[in-house]
Amino acid sequence: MTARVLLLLIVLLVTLSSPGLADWNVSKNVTQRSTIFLRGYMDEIFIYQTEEGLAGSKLVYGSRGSGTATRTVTSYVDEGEISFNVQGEFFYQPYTPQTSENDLLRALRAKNREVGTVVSESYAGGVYLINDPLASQNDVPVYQISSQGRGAARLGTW
Amino acid sequence: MGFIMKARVLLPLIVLSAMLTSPTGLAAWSIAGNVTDHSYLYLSGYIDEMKIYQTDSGIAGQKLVVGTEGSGTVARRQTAYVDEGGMFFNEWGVFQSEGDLRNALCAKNYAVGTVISESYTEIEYLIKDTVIFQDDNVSIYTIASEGRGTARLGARVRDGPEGATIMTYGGTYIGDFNIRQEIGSGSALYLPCL
Repeated sequence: MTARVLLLLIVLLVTLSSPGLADWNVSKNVTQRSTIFLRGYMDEIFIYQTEEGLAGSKLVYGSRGSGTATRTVTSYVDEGEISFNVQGEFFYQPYTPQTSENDLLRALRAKNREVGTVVSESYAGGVYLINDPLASQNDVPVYQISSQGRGAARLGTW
Repeated sequence: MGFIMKARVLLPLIVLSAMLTSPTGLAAWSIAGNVTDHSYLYLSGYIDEMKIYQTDSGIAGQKLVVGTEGSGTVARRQTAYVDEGGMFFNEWGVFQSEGDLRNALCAKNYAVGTVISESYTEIEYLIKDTVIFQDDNVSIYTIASEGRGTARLGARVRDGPEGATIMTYGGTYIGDFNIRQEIGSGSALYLPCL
């Protein structure tokens, strides 16, 4: 069983700086400090960029799985650089989050090709679901989703 | 005649474009000077409460929604101060249930381009201390939560409506968790307890 125990120790320090400054109008800088201790299941992602598209600096960090985790993320982003530091210890232990057994499926997808927006939602394995979606596509696309339930819900937009 | 027709069309256009391009300033309240809210609650039973604050209506200013729903034991304290320039909000609480209690908060700052949301479901126990400060220049979100259940956190920082999405964060934590998180954008002196 020792083979199934995963011990991972990470210390990562990244500083990305682009040759030219990005031109931010509103934000001056972003600071983040996050420490978590967890015994269970986690799924997290951090995404940073100084500019949209194929420009500037980008950084993505994520971790997912079950076990015991202690990690600290410290980051600083401004027009010129992304500074990111993560320090953590992750021990694997099996953990199964509760999922209900039900084959009730629902899905909705709305597109506005003129403006270029898509929103989709799907619900699976629900025990109960109260759902009140609203999609107006006349002039400005407005997608409003209000759902309460137990089970898996998937929402997306791009 | 042609000139008058042109002026009729152009003048409203100029006024409209001036309104749209004017920099976002303070919300202009006519009557209310400020709003303060001090609330302490102890409950053993069922709760369903929601509070919504905003400095401006529509897609402008700062917003905050906080709510708790379900049955269990709740001891919570809220402090809020809202005026034209921004808002301060703190919720400190101890929540206990047999998994049928939910607590959530979402704060948005349209002037700066930041949003944070936290939700706790299937709470067996939760000790939380969330501090939100947001005005037209700065957003500071401080979360300290310890508990057993499901915690979901998310945040986004965008450089205004047309700007780049600088930071995106999403996390789901299930089980025993202890979370200390602070996200700030803008410039201000802040001394958080973490």
